[in-house]
Amino acid sequence: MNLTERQIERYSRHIILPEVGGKGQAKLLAGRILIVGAGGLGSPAALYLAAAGVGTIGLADGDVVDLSNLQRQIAHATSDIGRAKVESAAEKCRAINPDVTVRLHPEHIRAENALAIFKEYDFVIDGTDSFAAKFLVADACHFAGKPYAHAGILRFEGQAMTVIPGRTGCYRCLFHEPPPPNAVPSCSQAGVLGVLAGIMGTIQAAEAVKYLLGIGELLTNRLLVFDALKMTFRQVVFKRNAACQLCGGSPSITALRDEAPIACVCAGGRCETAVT
Amino acid sequence: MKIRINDLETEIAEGLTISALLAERKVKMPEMVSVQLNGAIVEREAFPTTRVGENDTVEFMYFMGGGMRGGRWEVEGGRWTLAGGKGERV
Ligand SMILES: [Zn+2]
Repeated sequence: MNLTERQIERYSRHIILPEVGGKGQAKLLAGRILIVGAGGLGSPAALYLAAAGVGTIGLADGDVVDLSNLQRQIAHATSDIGRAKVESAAEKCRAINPDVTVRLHPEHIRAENALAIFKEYDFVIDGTDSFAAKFLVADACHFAGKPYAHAGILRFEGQAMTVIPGRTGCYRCLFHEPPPPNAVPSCSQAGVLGVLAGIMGTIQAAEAVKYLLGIGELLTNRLLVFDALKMTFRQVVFKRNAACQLCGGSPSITALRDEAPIACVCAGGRCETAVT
Repeated sequence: MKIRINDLETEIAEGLTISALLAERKVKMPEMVSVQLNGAIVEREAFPTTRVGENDTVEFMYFMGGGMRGGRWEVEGGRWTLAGGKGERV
């Protein structure tokens, strides 16, 4: 792939990095990243990947923009309320960088559509909100053989890890299965500091870029835990679990399935179902 | 005896199991926590039988979704609350 003069100028701060160079930039332009969830985590990831010149960005989300999303979902503007999140986010990505092809999957990822969508991409970013969706993304990446970046956020803390199926520990190595429904709390005391989504989503984007470039060390076999109040990053090193029900020696999960959605047990009031 | 929990040196009674440690640390929703002992995941079924020893390293890892429905939940006085809000140490 030959870069045009405009591209050489646009990506000059990448190209002057010896670890990237023109060749690396060409890899990014040929790269295909799927972002599942165009919310808090997916927004900064999509914007940075578009700016970086990742050639194909897929956005999968079935939601529309809600006023309460705007505190952290920075790909969406006030005027986007009511629009499909994938359309709103795609517009911002294209405005940043016309080199980027944005592919829209205006649907929630489910067991029956996940593999067909995932196989079109090189790397997946999990920007989903619910435990059921996070386990589905983990399982689908395993069965599709796609590396992916996990992140979760809550209150003032975030976590992130990268998984290369078949080679590194997976999400289920650490978190075996979704917590039982009776362990799931009401929503009223959750919440999240908006900037946390930016920090963790940007870490996921960095992993995706590193993966496409083939540089550095990915966040594998490590759970990175960020505490915004203490302003500390901590990492928990873990090993692949030989007894893992997904990636272990004799797995009990041998096909993709939907985990039962975990309902909030809000006693009253409005309960947000899609907070990412 | 001294152990490290989530990178913090902590004094605990001797002979505690993982289940007892979770209770002692006031983690009332162990379903929301994955536990690693000295670098190895402890199966949930083994929480009541796995004992923590001097200088062991314990990691409590919490489920985190997207800002709702996860994290460090516990029941206090019949109400759901998030750990960490009132001097919770883990
Ligand atoms: Zn695994």
